[in-house]
Amino acid sequence: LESDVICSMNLKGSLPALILETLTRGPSHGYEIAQTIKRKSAGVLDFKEGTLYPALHTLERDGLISASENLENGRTRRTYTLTEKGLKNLAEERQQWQAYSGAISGILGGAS
Amino acid sequence: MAGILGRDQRNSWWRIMTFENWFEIASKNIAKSELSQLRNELENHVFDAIHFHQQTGISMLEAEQKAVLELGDPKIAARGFARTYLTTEQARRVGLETGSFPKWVKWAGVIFLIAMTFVFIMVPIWTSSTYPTLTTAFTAFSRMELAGVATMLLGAWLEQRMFARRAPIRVLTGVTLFGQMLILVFLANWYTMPYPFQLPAWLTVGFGVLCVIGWYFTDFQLLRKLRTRA
Repeated sequence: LESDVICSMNLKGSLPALILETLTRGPSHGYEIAQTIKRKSAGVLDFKEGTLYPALHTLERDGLISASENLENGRTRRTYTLTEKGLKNLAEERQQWQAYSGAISGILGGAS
Repeated sequence: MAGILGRDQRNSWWRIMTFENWFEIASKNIAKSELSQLRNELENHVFDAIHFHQQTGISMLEAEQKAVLELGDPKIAARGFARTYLTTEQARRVGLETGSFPKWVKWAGVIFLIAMTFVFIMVPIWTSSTYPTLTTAFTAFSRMELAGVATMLLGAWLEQRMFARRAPIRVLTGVTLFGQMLILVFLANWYTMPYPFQLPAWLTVGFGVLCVIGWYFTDFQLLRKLRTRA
């Protein structure tokens, strides 16, 4: 039930912001990003990786992150880095999220 | 607790599936030109996941199944892919898939234009006393062709402005066709055109207008995908 309730809050729309936030720690590749989000949310935000890459590529197209390719153990790895535009976007996302979560908490937090 | 950004894994019909099977389903309608990078990244991802799971002491087969399971339902992923990447149909439309643009469309366009030229230029010339000479016919034809070239240039410019890259053939064809039709109709000396040709002329123009409007609307998603392509 808990999972269904949180799902209904349309958290899928938060994935880009979560990716941007993860990249503030430094450049990272897809698997690392997924693992970091999973770990930092204690397994709660366990989204399917099939949705991660379209989100990454959309952010890249929008100029919020940039990608570079390098060879690692014979495999071509694509590493993502946060851009200046991405950093600004993240600040806005944070503000919006704080306002939103504050408003919801103001209502639901007091309900008992 | 199941992850809140994913689906409940109790209903995971894809749980026994190789990465190849998964990718085939998820990328079924995606253009080939879009797939190489995505495939490479997902392969790396699955490779890392298998390596991670193997460290927990499970077999290679189990590790692969877990890694594929983590990718999620391929049919849901396919919908996400279609929202982000060009589909086969869209790639064909913008001409990214070389040679895949159906030739019959081009031939149909050529035949259509020849037929329209015949109907709107030649028939009125033959049947009306307004254009009795070859000189006037030649003048009308030259003006039509010049206007046609101008329309094509306008179409190319519009595409360049809109897509900042290779313009979709659809838009170019649409604008050109529409322009050609208008020019054909008005240069054919409308008032002297025999009555049976007036209705088809207006219907053709109306059809052209609807086509261009329709194409712009249906290409909205395509525009979004092409917006920031290099």
